[in-house]
Amino acid sequence: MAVAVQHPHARPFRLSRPLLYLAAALMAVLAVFPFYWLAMTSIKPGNQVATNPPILIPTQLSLQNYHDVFAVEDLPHFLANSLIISLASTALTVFLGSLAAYALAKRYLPYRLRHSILLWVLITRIYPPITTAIPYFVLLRRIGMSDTHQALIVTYVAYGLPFVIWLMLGFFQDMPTEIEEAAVMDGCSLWQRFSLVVIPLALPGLAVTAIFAFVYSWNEFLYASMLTSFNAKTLPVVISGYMSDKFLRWGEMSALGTLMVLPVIVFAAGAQRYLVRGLTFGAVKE
Amino acid sequence: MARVVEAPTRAGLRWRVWRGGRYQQERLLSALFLLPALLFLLVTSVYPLLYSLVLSFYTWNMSIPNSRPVFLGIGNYTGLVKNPQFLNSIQVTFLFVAVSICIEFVLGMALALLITSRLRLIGLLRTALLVPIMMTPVVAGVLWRSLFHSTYGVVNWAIGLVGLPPQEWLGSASQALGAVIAVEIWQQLPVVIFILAAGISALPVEIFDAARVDGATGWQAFRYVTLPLLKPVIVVALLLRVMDAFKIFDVIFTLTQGGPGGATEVLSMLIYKTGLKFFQIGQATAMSWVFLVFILVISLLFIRQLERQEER
Amino acid sequence: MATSREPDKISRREALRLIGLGGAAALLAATTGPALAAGRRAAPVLQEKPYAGLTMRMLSQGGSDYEPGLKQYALEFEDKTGAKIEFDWAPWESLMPKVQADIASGKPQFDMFTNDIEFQYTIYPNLLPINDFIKNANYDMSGFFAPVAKYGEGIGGQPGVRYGLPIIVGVSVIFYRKDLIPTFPTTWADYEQAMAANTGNGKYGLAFAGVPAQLVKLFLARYWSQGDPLFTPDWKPLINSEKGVKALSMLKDEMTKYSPPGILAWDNPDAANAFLNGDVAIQEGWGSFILPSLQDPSKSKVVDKWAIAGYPENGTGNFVQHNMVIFKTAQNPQAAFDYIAYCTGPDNAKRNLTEFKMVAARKTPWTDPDVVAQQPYLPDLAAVLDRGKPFSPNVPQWLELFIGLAEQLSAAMAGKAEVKQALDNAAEKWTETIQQAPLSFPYTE
Repeated sequence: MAVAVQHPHARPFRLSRPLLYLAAALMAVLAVFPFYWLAMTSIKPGNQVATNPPILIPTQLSLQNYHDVFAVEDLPHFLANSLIISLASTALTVFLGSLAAYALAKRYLPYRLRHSILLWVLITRIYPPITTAIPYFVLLRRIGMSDTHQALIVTYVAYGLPFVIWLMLGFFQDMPTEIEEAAVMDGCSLWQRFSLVVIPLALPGLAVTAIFAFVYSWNEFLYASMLTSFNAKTLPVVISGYMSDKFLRWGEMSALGTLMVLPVIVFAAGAQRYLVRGLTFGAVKE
Repeated sequence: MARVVEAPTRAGLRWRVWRGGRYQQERLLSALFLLPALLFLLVTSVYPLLYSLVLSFYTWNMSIPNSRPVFLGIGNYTGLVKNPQFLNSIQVTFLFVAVSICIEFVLGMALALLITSRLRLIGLLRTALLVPIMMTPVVAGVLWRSLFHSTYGVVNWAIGLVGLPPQEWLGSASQALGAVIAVEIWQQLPVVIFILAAGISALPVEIFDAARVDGATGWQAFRYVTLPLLKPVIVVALLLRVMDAFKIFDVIFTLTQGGPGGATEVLSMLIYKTGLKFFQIGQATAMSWVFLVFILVISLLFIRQLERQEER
Repeated sequence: MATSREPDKISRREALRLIGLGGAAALLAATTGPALAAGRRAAPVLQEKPYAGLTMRMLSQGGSDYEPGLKQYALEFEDKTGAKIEFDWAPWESLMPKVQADIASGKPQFDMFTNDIEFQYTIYPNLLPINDFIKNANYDMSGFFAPVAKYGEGIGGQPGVRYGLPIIVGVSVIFYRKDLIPTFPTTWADYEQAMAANTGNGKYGLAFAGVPAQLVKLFLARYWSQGDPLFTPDWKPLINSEKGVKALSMLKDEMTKYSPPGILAWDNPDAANAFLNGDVAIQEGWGSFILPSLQDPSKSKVVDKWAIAGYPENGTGNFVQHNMVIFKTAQNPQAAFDYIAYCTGPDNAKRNLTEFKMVAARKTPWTDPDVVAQQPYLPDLAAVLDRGKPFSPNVPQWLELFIGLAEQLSAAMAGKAEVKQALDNAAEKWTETIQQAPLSFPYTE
């Protein structure tokens, strides 16, 4: 993992080390405990799940829930769907979004135009997804795209773009211009400046947006359940299938819920290396 | 040879570019950079949004067999003003957003500073903080419902350890919203932390060295150096979080279904219920548009902040 | 520029890694999908089959009691007739939006649908009446529970018209501890006495699912036992009458005195767990949820200590039935009917009950001696089912009425509104809703 950046004077208060460690430990426990509980529930036998007092460390283990989950027909197919759709939408969202953000951060286009585009981009992110669920579904059916991977990918990219654009905009605006000016003097074209100079410097922002785009696509269930039936069915649809007004298969849900976190951990662990990167601004003065 | 061209803004940046042609070429290219993203958004949002706007002026109950939209003018909108459920949901939504965002940003800033510091094993905390974000919201809702269970839940057991009596949490109209806010903070605080942390880590260190040389204390450095420099990131993070907080759905859906007695019925739950359960399309789209205009206004305030940044 | 080379290389590698991952995933999907599908359909090709080459699609609810059964019957049906059936086991919440959007798109993708009969109140113009199919196939309609037959016809105010064949049924049932309550009370007063006697020392008398949507059946049981219908024949709500107030006050009272705290956040599994753990003496709720676990020692602490009863004084809570229906746009309606007849007909009725453990809609096998030996509670359950009454038959906006009532009940139970006020609000909502599309036929129960 990259060395954490040291900002010794960025911290407002000089708290003692042990206190900071305690705070960090407390936060870590609070963050992780619910997941621990989920994982434990998934391997507990049925009669240990709802007890008073709660059983924090199970004495008996049972893999029945996982057995039931894997008994779901075509689970590997649904897993593959989730992976393809999430990875593709993440890649597209981050790429197209940072391209657009860069164009909006530079001053080539008129101010008014940039301003209204940004506003428009924002509007598409404001409304709750359910507003357009039915017209969107009808549109997709009419053009023959229902129950396809492309439909979901397009949907998730459209959802994630405003987030990426706005976030990367902040990063690009924050960036000192001397670096780019140096690149211009060295004879770089716009694309070269973007891909070779600016993007590497904006890696923390990209890492953040990639993680969130992936997590969103991986976990999204409203559109997935409406737009897919079988071919493009994803894992969140399977999970929400465990709930209805008359039943709640909490055992299977906890097992699948636990499993679903794993690919995200892998992805995020890979991407978060770039979240906090080493010193590079020093390079400018050289 | 190089000709200095001043860009048409107040920022006073100077770009050394070649003859006008090269400048125009880059201009076109930057427009091309913008195009794919805009196309995506146009295709997937414009049509359904406009369609829903049009529908909001009609009355249409899709669950009635053979029904068709009937033009109503602004009837749906005026009806909303008198609708007690709508007014209740606005109140609940506001309370929810205000409280969660405040807590998220204060705590988020503190923790962002923590995880960009040089403590040992801080990477562990970073990884731990990723966990809440990663859990499927639907699963998180059901999970927290079991944690908040009045008899078998861990929360009541934990507060019992410090001597507090067990609470009803989600079963009480007065406590349910608080419990929901707690779950939201648990899931979204890491988002804020990471965005702020990424911003902090992108700050040039020389400025802090300079501040130290000038004799600034920790708090002064934070207040007069860190915060101002972080402003663009903070504003964007606030904007995005506020927008998302207003739209919360999955978690409340599985936690309380809007109950008890409408105590946690936020606007998106009401829209979902009206549109996708009752199929009162006219009312649901009118609600969504009121919602949209409302958040747009709030967002404009944030955008104005960002513009002030650009002017500097 | 030298220092920026390194991060550039890393990001390219990352990108390649991602692409590789995506490609691998795509490959996985491409191969496993068809491979699994091929593995499933290994039917040998025999002589000429009537529906060979036909693929029908059914939309239904994932995780339902009948999922294993319908899947198995589909395989057998394919063996016999050559018709394949593809299922979309969608989450329950998404069923109605999916059906509605499908119909709205003009290009429906499903031939059949299986779920609550209430869907028919809304989508019947797109369904195929099956009265003729039933007659031509001599399909035996006599073996079903009384409410199934009674309320399964006359959809949309069309007397005698039937769209679906019923597969499972359900009703709100009382589960009680027969070791704590030797004879089940027959009056409400005695019922409350029994609850009171069992409350104390950390144990409680009554548990139920208290989330808004689940309160309705509890209210209905107490309301209907007093004899009044929900509406007058000309659709004026009666729920805010004295009897309604009495019913809701009774429920609220019982909750306050005899139920565990926080019960308004409990859903069906929570109520079932409380009973299975032995923490409550009585649980009112759906049978299908708790029945499989009651005699399982790994899940239940009350094995052999429980029994089933119906509500006192002729009370009954919300009878439900799931029907299999055929869309008008089905490719081959006869084939579709043959399949649903196969699933619900007398030949497979016993299998539904025993092999697939459904709460089967056909009553005839319920009294079979070896079936009763296996599931001894069946006669009690059958008695409760026979008395069942569904909620708001034939109203297309049934869900709006249902949720409208549920929310007011929840407000009253949570103390956010007075009982009478809440019921008045509900009645007002009902009147408003009905007036949006007045029905041409009178209300009957």
